[in-house]
This record gives sequence, structure tokens and C-alpha cells, in this order.
Amino acid sequence: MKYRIVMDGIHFSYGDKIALKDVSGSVSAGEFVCLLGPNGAGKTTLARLIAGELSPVKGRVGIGADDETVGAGEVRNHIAYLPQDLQDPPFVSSRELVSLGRFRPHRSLGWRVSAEDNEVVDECLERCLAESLADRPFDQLSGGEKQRVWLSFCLAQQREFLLLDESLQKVDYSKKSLFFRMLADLASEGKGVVLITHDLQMAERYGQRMLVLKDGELAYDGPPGKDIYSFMEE
Amino acid sequence: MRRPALVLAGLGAALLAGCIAGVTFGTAELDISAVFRALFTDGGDPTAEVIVRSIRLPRVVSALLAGACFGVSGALIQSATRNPLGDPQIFGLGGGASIVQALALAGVFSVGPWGLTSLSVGAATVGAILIFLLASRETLTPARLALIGVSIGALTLAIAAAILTHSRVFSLQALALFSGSMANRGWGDVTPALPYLGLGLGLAVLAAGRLNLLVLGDRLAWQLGASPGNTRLAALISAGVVAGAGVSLAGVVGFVGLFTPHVVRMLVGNDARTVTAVSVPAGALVVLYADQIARLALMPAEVPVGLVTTVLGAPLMIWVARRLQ
Repeated sequence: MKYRIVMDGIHFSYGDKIALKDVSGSVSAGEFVCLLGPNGAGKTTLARLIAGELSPVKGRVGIGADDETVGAGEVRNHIAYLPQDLQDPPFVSSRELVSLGRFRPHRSLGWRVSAEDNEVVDECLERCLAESLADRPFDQLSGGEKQRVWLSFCLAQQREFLLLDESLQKVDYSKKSLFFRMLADLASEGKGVVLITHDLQMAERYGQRMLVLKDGELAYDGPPGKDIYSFMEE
Repeated sequence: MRRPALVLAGLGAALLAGCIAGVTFGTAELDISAVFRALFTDGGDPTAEVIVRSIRLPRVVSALLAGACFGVSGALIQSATRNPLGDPQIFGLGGGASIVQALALAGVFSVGPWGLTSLSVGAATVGAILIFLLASRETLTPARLALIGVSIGALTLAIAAAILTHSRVFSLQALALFSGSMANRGWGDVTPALPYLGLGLGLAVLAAGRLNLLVLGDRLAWQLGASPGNTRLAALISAGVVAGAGVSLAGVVGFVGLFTPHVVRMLVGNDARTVTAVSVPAGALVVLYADQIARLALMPAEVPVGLVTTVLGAPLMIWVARRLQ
């Protein structure tokens, strides 16, 4: 069963200010898609619409297996979404934070998760080069370290899609390409990955498809190529 | 040091020792065998029986219950609002209850202990719901929520003080309300708090399984499929109910709700369920021992128990705060 996120003619506005105009497109499991565009183009708004935090004024967002589409309320069950500018969770170590990703609605949850869950948590920390941060209080980490732990948290959810809003921005230069490669690997393992980023070189090198938003409209949807740079000018 | 069972055993032993001290020491000199005779056998020395059964024992129970109330209330507020400053007094829940207590002291209305406890619980719960409404706004950072809480707390206490001043209640009763005291607590004052502590703890148990998720913030908790608003509401109502019961038992006792959960977290780790549960006996222990100091330090005079918890709690909290960073 292969899932697909479908955006169908989405309009959205904050009061009078139009944020998105008639955005249509789709992201399939197994794809690494980079969502690009200048500041204020509507990238974060689109992510929030996909994640179900906002509802479109017109059009719809759905997720479906093959052709069948389910309602927006269920989209969140298939996506691990990492917004920008999260407040630091207090009182938790990195490992505890990641293990919260193992939460499932039908069961109560403490930190003492099952052995299987613990294994998943360890794997995810390791994959995001965060195993050495596991027992440190989360709110004492540096910005880039926090992003590595947040990524582990998203992986631990084992959802079909990852929706990441500038989640690699603070990762240091030497590790950045490792993380872009990891996202590409995740896509080849069958996950759908949507990354909002301003890092055009990395996006071009590792992303399979570029979505470029400009002034609330989808200006480009296609493979990486030099022409994406032309949309970044104000 | 993450051994809840060991910590609970230690707390149990310390509580037992504190209870024995509470019924044994006091202005009237009774040796421990006389105390045990008075407690467990009938027909002995009637004076000892009255002192132990009707004066000292209800006061011990009162301290245990009040401490349990404040400890668990602080733990719940801290988890529910992701705020290390969470405390029933700081966030104005105790202040709401103190307005009710002040009105009763001023003679504005006259209800029995059951009525007064129920009204205190109601007022503190209103405060809790106010905090819930404020804390539900995504833009409100923990620091701003704390600022608002501190303001509400100060305002409620000022209103209570104004009520007492207006009706010329300047006596020990006013001091007992604002600085906390369990002097002259009888069984009649203690029993009405019990069902509310039970109710509050029951609600806390319902919310506890999801409390851990609240540290993520509402957006991520919702993404994971939880209903963070419901969990927070249950936790805060529970915190309000027990805080109201605590104030009706002991007045406004500061710092217990603030530092108890932090110390508990150092001892048993960060699991919100464990922290909430262990804060019940830990809070009881703090107030029980503080009340022994309050009763015995300047015997036969009494120090308000809230002053003892503040004098002990403030340096401890500073130490905890330095370790947190």
C-alpha cells in the first residue's frame, strides 16, 4: 500500500491577507521533496495545512492509499510533523523526548516503554547522531543538537511521511550533508519526506523534486535544476 | 538515583517518625508510652486521651493532608503548564480560596466546615480554570504565563487582605490565613478536606497517563493523536480542587507546591506520573515536619507554618534552581 498526500486547489488567508492561492500537488511515499521559496511565500502555512493544524478556506488536503483519499482529520496519523520555533520541553532528557514519539493514542504512556520501543528510540537517536546526547537534559543542548534530537523524535513515530519545517537549519555544516543524505535514504526506504529549506545547494543535490512557492502560488513543481534560483529573487 | 520504590520507602519511614513526633511532643509533657496508651486503649488518663486524640492527632492528619494537597497541586500545575514555576499559591489558586476564607472570617457569610471547604475548593477551581484558559493560547510562553499567575496570586491575596482589613479582623486568624497555621484544627475541620483530596487525586490519575505528552506542547501532542487540552483541563481542575482543600486546612502555605516536585524529580526522574504520585507523600512530609517546627520551636508560642516552609523552602529552591541550569 503506497500513501500519497494530495493538495487539491488550496486557498488560505490570514484575515484579508491571502497566504496561498490555488495550490495543487501531491507527495508520494518514497519521495524526497524540498519545499522552497522566499520568506513569506507561504511554505510554513502550507506545512500547517498539510499537517491539519489549519484548514484551507477552499480546496482540500487529504491522504490516501493509491486512489482513495481520507479526511484531513486522519492526515495527522500518517505524518510526523516538526514545526519551526518550538518551545523547549522542560524537565526531560533527550531520550525521554524521543520516547514520547512512541505514544499511540490508545495507550497510556510513561517513560518505561516496551523493549521494542526502546530499541526504536535507540536506533533513531543513533541514526541522527544523537546517541551521545541521550541522557542530557534537552533544554541544555545547543540549537543544532536540539534539531538532531527533534529529528530522532520524528523518526521514532514511524509514520509514513516526515514534514520538516527548516529542521536542519541549525545543524552544523559538516553534518548537514549527512542529514540530507539520511532524508534521501529514508525516501528510498519508502518514506515520503517534505523538507522546507533555504539551502538550495543541498536541496538540489539530494532532493528528488522541488516545489517552489512564490507569493502564495506554486511557481514550480519539478526536478532540481538551475531555474529554481530564478524564483528566489524578490 | 531513579528508584521510586526506595524513595517511597524512605518517605514512608520519615512520615511515620514525623507522625509519632507530632502526637508525642507538645506543651503538655507526655511520654511515648502514655501517648500510645491514649491512642490505642480506652479508659486511661482522660486528659491524655483528649490531648492525643482530639488535639494532636487531627493536627498531624491536617498537616499530612494539606501537604499532600499542595505537593500534588504543584506537580500537576508544573506538568500541565510546562512551567517550572508552577505552584498553587504563585498561580493564584490558593489566593482564590483565601478570599473565601477571608469572607468567612469577616462574617460576610456563615457556613459550617463542609460549606467553607467546598467554597474554597470552588474558588481555587475557578482560578485553575482561568489558568487553563490562559495557558491554552499557543503564543503564551511559560515565562509570560508565570507573570500572569504571579499577578493573579498577588491580586487575590490583596483582595483577601482588604476584606479582613475592612472588617477589622487583625487577629491571629488573619496571620493564620496568610502565613498558614493548623493550630486548633479539630476533626470537624479535617474530614471535609478528605473527599476533595480523593476527588482531586482521582482526576489526577485519569490525566496522569497523558501528562508526559504535555511537555511537548499542544501542537506536537495533537500531532501524536492526543487531546492535550482535555488532559490539561483535567490536571488543572484536579490541582485546583486539592489546592482549595489545602488552603481550608492550613491557610496559604507557600513554597511547598513549588519545590516539592523539583526535589521529587531529582530523586525519581522526570516521568510525570511518578512525579505526581511521589509528590503526594513528599508534600505531606514537608508540611508535617514544618508544622512540628512551627509548634515546637518557640513553644508555647507558635510560628506560622507557612513561614517555616518559606524559610526552609527558599534556600532549597535557590539550590534546586542553580542545579537546574
